[in-house]
Amino acid sequence: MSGTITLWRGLAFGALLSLALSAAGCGGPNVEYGDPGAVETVTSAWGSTDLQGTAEKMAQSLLDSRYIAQAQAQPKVRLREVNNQTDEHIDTKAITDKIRIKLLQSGRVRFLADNANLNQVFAERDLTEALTRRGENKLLADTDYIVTGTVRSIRKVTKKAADVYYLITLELVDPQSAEIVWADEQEIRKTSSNPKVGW
Amino acid sequence: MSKPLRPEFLLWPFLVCALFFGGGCAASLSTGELRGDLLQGNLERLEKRMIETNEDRRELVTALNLARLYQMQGRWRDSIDLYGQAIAIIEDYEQRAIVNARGVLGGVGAATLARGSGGYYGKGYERTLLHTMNAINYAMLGDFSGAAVEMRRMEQRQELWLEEKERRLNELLEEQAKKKAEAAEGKGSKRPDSGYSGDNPPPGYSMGAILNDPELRAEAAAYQEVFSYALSSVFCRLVGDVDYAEVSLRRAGRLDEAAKKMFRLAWGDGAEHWRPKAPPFKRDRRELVVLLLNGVAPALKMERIRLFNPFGGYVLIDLPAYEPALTEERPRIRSGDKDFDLFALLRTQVLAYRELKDEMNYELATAISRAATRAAIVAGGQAVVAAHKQTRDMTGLVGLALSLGMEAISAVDARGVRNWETLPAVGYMGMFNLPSGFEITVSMGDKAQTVRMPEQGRGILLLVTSVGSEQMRVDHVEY
Repeated sequence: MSGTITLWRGLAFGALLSLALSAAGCGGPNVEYGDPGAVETVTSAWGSTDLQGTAEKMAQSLLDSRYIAQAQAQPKVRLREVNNQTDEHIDTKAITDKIRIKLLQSGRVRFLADNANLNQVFAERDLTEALTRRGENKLLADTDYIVTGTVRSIRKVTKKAADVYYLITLELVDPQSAEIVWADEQEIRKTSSNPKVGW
Repeated sequence: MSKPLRPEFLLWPFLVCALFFGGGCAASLSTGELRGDLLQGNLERLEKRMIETNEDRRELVTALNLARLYQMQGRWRDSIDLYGQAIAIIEDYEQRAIVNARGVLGGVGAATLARGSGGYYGKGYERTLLHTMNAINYAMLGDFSGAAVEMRRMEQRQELWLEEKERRLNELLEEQAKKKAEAAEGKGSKRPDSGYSGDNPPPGYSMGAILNDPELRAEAAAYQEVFSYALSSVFCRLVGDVDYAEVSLRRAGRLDEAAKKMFRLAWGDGAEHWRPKAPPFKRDRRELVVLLLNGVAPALKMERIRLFNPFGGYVLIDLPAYEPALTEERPRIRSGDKDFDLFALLRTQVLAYRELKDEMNYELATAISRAATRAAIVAGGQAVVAAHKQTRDMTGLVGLALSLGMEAISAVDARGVRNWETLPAVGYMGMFNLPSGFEITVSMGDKAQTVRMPEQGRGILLLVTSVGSEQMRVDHVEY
């Protein structure tokens, strides 16, 4: 009889323990607003801090270049693709978009539509052309400079640590002469190490 | 006077084990069910079961199998999401502490009670092919830049795989040298030695003859995967990363003569310098890249082998083995009556068997260790029961119950030991230059589909997926 009671007690204790463990995992996730400019080090992968730092530095460097700083009139610039030659799915358009916003806000550069929204521009142009047949659409092609670039990375990983190096290069090119009139680079190095002892 | 033992205490180990092993078994899907549904084209039902299993377990193989199923259905985005989940699981595993409790417990569990308790984080070739398969998803969406990213990740995986193999083989050589030295000094190892090894598998083991097949032995250097390198060359070239494409092309060519022949046929004998040409080649011709993923890969299972016990009787050990790959008929890809030459660059059966052969010494040692633990638990339980007057009469019954319990644990564990079963058995590849408007027919049985070479652009990537002699799917993307 006492054996049966002990068994039931044990089972009841097990059930309560399971219930407590399950309850610990209940409830929704904790959501908080954070500072979008705060340094992000969740993983060593490309992150918001890298994006912001790169865009900030490149935009300032571009504004300081004599082709922009000393231009008589606001040059017209078109952003071309920044090639992603890394081993991460980096949205390189986010880099160029941030740079464009900073340059536009400076008021020293005019931008032409890039590949991503050119289709919509063409659709609009076709409509306008059909209505007016004016020759002013050639202005669409009158680019003073194009901006191109590449993001590359070198990654080394061991069981203990990982090291990743990013090299972001941007170039300002005169499309008429194909001359590269300005170039700059941003280097980023990130290291991470696995803890020695843990779960 | 000793305290009387309550027989119900003997139930506790079973309750704990049942909770531990049975926790994630609610939605298990057997290899037979998976293959049956694939062969019969019951993909909706299979998807439902796979989603349940994946949500229940959140393991690498459940994510990989579902990712591949989505890919077979042409659901590229869904497949990318699931491959992402699989990558996150691997990264979490790799970023664990150097000495981590999960690893230690898993290792101890695998060596003492259940092989599956160590968790499965994929073999080197599976981690490599994860990125290759994901690259195909990106390519089919027309995102060749994304495909190239996956190919770069694939190459890193290949390097890690090679390093890991080198380390394991060196450890093995060191251990063998140590054993030899001990034997020469007359010390000998105190650990039980079955006398069996990867070169001398136990009799009755279904993989015994296969693992010593001369063709498999000749694949000793097959720790790099050719299909992935060949595809990397194609994708990286398309995004203008010609240097990277060249390196991949050279690697593929050096690893397999078939890959070399394929590139020579497509890019001409001028490939002496192995420099991939920038497409397009001629104004009126377009490039055709064919990927044919046929069948399903070998499926890992546990097999019970009876070994002679020098101390009397026999001992049952559980060793991993494979259900052979499914490779039946493959679709014909032709123009008129002429079939295109495709090259079998990916053979998952060879990769899986090669890995098993390399790991056989370790597998044998842990299998024997598990058998010894099971025997010790049964003997220990019987001894405890026999030591008490009140329970002495139940010794035989308790012994039987414990033996059955151990069998049950072993059976549950065997069900949980799985690999990436939905990988293709064979991956064929071919590259051709064809006139614009040219028609290509893909056919299998009474099914046929025609694809026309485009008038614009550089060419098309044609992806053909087939399982068995009934299920065929054709997708293509222009670039």
